Formats: sequence, C-alpha cells, structure tokens
Amino acid sequence: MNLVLTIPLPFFLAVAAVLFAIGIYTVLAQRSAVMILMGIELMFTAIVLNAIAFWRFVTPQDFSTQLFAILVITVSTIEMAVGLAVMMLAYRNKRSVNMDKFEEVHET
Amino acid sequence: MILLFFIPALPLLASVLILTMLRKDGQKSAVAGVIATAFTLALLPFLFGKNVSSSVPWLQLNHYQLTIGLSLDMLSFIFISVISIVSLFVQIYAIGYMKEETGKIRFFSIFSFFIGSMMLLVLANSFLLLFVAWEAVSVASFLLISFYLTREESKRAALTAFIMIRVADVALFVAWLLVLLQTGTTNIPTFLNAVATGQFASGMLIVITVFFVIGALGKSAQLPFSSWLPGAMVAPTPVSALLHSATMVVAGVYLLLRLFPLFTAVPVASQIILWIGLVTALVGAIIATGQMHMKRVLAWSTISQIGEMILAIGSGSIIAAMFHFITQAFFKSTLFLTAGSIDKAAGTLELEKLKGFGRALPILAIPFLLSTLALAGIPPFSGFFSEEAILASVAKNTPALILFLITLFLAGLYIGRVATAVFLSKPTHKFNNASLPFFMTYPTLILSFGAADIGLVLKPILLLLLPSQNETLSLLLRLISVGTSISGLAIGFIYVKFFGLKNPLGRVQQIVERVVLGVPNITVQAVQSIGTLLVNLEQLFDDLVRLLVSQTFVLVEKLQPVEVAFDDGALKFATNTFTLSQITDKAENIWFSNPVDTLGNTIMLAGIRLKPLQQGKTYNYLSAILLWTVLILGASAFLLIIISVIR
Repeated sequence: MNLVLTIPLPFFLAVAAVLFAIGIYTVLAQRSAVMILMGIELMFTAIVLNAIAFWRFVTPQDFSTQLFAILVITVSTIEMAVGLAVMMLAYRNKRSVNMDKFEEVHET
Repeated sequence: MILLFFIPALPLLASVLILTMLRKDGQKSAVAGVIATAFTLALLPFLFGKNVSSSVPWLQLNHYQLTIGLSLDMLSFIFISVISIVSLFVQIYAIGYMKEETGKIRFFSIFSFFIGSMMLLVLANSFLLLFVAWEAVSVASFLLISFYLTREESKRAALTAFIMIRVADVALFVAWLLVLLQTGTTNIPTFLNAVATGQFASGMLIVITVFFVIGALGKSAQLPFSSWLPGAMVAPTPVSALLHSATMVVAGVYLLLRLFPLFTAVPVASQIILWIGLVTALVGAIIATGQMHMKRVLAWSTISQIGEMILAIGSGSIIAAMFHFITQAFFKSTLFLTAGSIDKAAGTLELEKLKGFGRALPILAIPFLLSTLALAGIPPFSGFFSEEAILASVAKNTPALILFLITLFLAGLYIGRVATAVFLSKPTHKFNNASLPFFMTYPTLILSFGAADIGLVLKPILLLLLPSQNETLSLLLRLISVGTSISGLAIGFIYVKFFGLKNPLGRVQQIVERVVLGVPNITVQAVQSIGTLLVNLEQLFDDLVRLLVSQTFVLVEKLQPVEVAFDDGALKFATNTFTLSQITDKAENIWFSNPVDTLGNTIMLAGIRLKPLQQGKTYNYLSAILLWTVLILGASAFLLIIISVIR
C-alpha cells in the first residue's frame, strides 16, 4: 500500500511526547489514585502512538507493530483492572482515594 | 586614876598647843613645853606607891580582844620619875641652846610629843598601846635627828636610825601578835599571868621571847643594831641628851624589865640576853676608846651602859638593871649637856681642837668631872653603887665576870681620856673666855649633882624597899672593881698626857669599829645584790626570749623568697600545663572533634534528606523512578551518539 500521509513523522512523535509528558505529569501531580491510573493509561497511549508512527513511516509492510499495539492495549487493560482492584481494596480500608493518605510504610 | 591619865596627856597636849596656837613665838612655845613637864613632875608625889591600873577594851573581833589601858606599878613609877626629871632639866637647857636656831616651834612641839609618847610607853598595859607609843617615839626621834634640815648627814642619819629600828620592830610586832593569837587579848598582865602559870607551849614561848628580845635590841642600839646611834649624834644636843642617852634607847630595857616573867620561864633567853648585853658592853667600850668626837664617845658609851643593863636582866637582877638605868640617865645626860655647852662655846666637838678648853670655861668642869667619876664607878659617886649591883648579879658567872671587869676598865679609860684631854690638859691654842647663857649652865649643874649623889641616896632606899634583892658581894670583889675603875681612869689620864689623843687600843679598836658599823652595810648590800641579781636574771630571760623571737622573724624573712620562688614555680608550672591543655583542646577540636562532628552532621543531614525516600510518599518514589529513567536514557543516548561518531 502506498498510502500517503501529509502529516510528517515528527509531528506524530511530538504529539506522542506531549501525551507522554502529560501522562507523567498526571501520575506525579494527581492526588486521586484513579487519576494516576488514567495518567498511566495516557502514557500507554503515547507509547502506542509513538510505535505506530514509527511503523507507518519506517516499515509499513511489517505488521508486528500492530501486534505490539494490541498487546500493549491488552496489557494496559489488565494492568488497569488490577490497579482498580487494588484501589478498591485500599478504598475499603481507607475510605478515601487520596494518594497522600497511603503512607503507611513509615511515618516519621 | 585621872592623875595617871594626865601624865602622858599633858606633854602631848603641850605639843599640839605649840603647833597650833603658839606659831608665832618660839620662846612661848618653849615655856609651854617646860610647864607641861613641870606639871607632870608635880603630879608624881601624888602617885607614889599607888598601884593603879585600868584597861578598856577597844576592839573585839570574834574571840580576840584589843585593849587599851594604863597602869602604874613600881617599875613604871621609877621610869616616869626619871623621865620627867631629866626631861625638865633638858627642856630648860634647850631654851638656852636653841636660842639662835630657826624652827624652835617645830623643835619644842616634837620634844613635848616625844616626852608624852615616852610616858605613854612606860605606862601602857596593853601591847597595842605600847607598840603605838614605841613607834611614836621612833617618829619623834626621826623628826628630831633630822632637825637641821639643810644638812645632808642629818637626813641620812635620821633615815638610818628609823629604818634600822623599824627592822627590829617587825620582830616586836610579830611577838605581840603571837601573844594576841595565844591569849586572845593584848593585855600585858594577862599575858604575864599566863606565862607564870605555864599556859604556853615552851616552843612558842621561846619564839615569842626571842622576838621581843630582837625588838628591844633594835631600839636600844645593841649589837647587831648598833650603828644608828653614833650617826644620830648629828641631832641638836638636847635631843642627844634626852633621847639617845636617857630615855628612848632605854625603852628596850624597859620592855625587857616589864617582860621579866618570860625570862624566868625561858632560861635560855636569859642566857642569850646576858651574853648579848655583855658583848655589846665590851665592844661598845672598845670602840668608845678610839673616838675623836666627843659626842661619839658618849654614844658608844651609852651603848655600852645599856649593854650592862641588859647583862643585869640576863643575870636575873631587875633591881641592878633599874638602878643602873637611873644612874646612867643622870650622868649620861649631864655629860651630853656639858658637851652641848662646849659645842656652843667652842663651835666644835673634835677632841683634837678642844684640848685644854676647860681653862676657858672652868664652870663646866664641875658637872663633867662629877659625871666622869660616876661613869667610871668611883665611890662614893652614884655609878659605883649601880655597877656594884650589876657586879653582884654577875658574880657567879666567872667568864662573864671577867669580861665585865674588862668593860669597867675600858669605861674608865675612854671617859678619862676625854676628861683629861678637855679639862686637864694645857691648851694648844688660845681660847677666848666664853660665856654661856643662863639657862644652859644651871640645869647642867643641877643634873650633875643628881649624877653625883643619887646613888648614895638611892641605895639605902632600895635596900629598904626590896630586902630580898640584896646580894652581898665579897670584899675582894669590891676592891677589884674599884681598882679596875681607878686604873682605867689613870691609864686614860696618863695616855693623854704622854701620847696625846692617839687611839689607845690602836688597830684592835679600828677593826672592831669597822666590823660593827659595817655589818648592817654588808647585809643591806647583800640584799641589794640579790635583788640586782634577780633583776639581771629576769633581764637575761627577757633578752633570751626577745632573741628567740627576733631570730624566728629573721628565719621567716629568709624563708620568704624561697617560698615565693616555690610559689612562682608552681604558678608557672600550672600556667604552662593550662596552656598545654588549652592547645591540646584546640587541636583536638580542630583535628578531631570538628571533623567528626561535621561527619556526623553530614550523615545526619544526609539521613534527613534521604528520609522521605522511606516515608511512603508515592510522589517521591515516582519522581525518583522518573528521574532515574531519564538519566539512563540520556546517558545511553549520549553513549550511542558517541559510538556512532567514533564509528
């Protein structure tokens, strides 16, 4: 297939980078645990976008990246489920989803 | 009894009167004194033969009673008779003698005071009163000896006399205090009764007797208290005539006569006073032979005669002693009054200058020669009878008898020497024919008649009164005694005629005189040197202690730099140690404690900083992971670039 994309590669990479950065920011700066999971989801998305961009522009004929993309999404979903399950458990103990309250490792 | 009171009271009253009311006029004062004595004499016949006494308790302390009282018995009567007769004549004589002197009022006042005190002494029947009168008589003697206030030797002689008698008076005082302690009263008759009935322990009795004897010896100028009497001759002649020949010096004899029962109870005391009296008589006579001054001859003669009286008491014969007292009073005072007249007329009493003076005043020859013969003991003059009585009492004691005869010989010698020199020699220089005041000559003459024949008169009277006391004397002994007296006079006469006024006994007399006069001096010097020794000893100790203290101070001063050096050394050592420790401290701080502290702090800070890692803050964990990842990726990117560049 010789499809043409008028958007060059760096724009895709830039977008993926921005998304990744926002995801990092969300993970680091959000209080709520659900929002952190969403940040992680964003970071996954950015990575998939970065991989797909590179597939399309470097080796369009190889469809292993597509497999990779599906894998990643699957993994992210599983990971999301697990995370939510943990969070649900934590919420049952703490009655809150505030991350600042999960400090029981050592309080000084 | 009232009459008895007047006897001492009249002269004492006169004395006070002279001092207070008759201050202006000397003559009136003298007359007052004479009148007082005359009245006293006039009272005597009324008192003759009466034995009166009265005693008044004066002070009662627990069981001790001090009494005062007067009593009259034969002994007192004889004494006051003699005292008043001799005093009267001497006072009349003194009116003439003191005519040109200043201080007449003082003289006559003290003179009357003396007469009153002497009367009081012989009339007292209480030891207290006797002692007071005894001291009063000493005071009067002192004041009269020092009458010539401007002469240095008067003051010295008066002081010597007073002090020497005072020393003996201590013994007298102790004696009557002992009596007071034993009998509880000062009454003399009580004491004598107690002695006679044997109430005293014999040891105590001996002590009391010895002390009374010492007191009597001092007053009567016996050995060893003799040296004051010759010195007392610087007094005016009436004083010498009355006090120091007839009355005051015989107070000791009176005391011994009054206390005669003591001597019968204590025979050893009789022996003591016998020998003291005899030795004094002998020594006094020896010294008298070599004197060059008429009054000194008479002074030593008085000492010798009183020694004879005491010898008589010691031999047990009161009558002999009293008799000799009476005769001696008369002839000795006559001799003194004559000497005074010669003094007034010639201005001197040195025998050398008086040779042959009798030619100028022949009237004085009568009393002088009569008294000379009386003193020497030539019959029928009075001295013979009294010395015979003494001889009788001492006849049984052969050594004493021999010495007494020697004394008689010497008595003749010394008085014969003086009589010859003055009255029986040819004059060596020219004397003016002098004349004497009226008052002076006649009393002298009258007294001399007394001297001459009182003995004759009294002997039968005494025999009548006291037959038991008459001791018969063998004719041989009488002849020997008369022969001794005559030979004494003769030798004196011959000696002066041929050898002049040289000392008849030569070296012997000089040595004896020096010893007798020197013994008190040596005693005083010994006591003084002991005192000086003690003072020096104390000074030595004082110096020693001072030396010790000063040396200690010096030592301390020397040690002080050493101690300061030690102090400095220790200070330096301490300072250096301190500095060293400070340096060590700083070094330790800089090199050790500070780095260690810094290390510790750093680690702590690191720990603090690293703490958040373990706190469970998820944010921190996530940041760390992110950072680490970025670093790894950056590093790997860098490495890849470098590798590609190298390829």
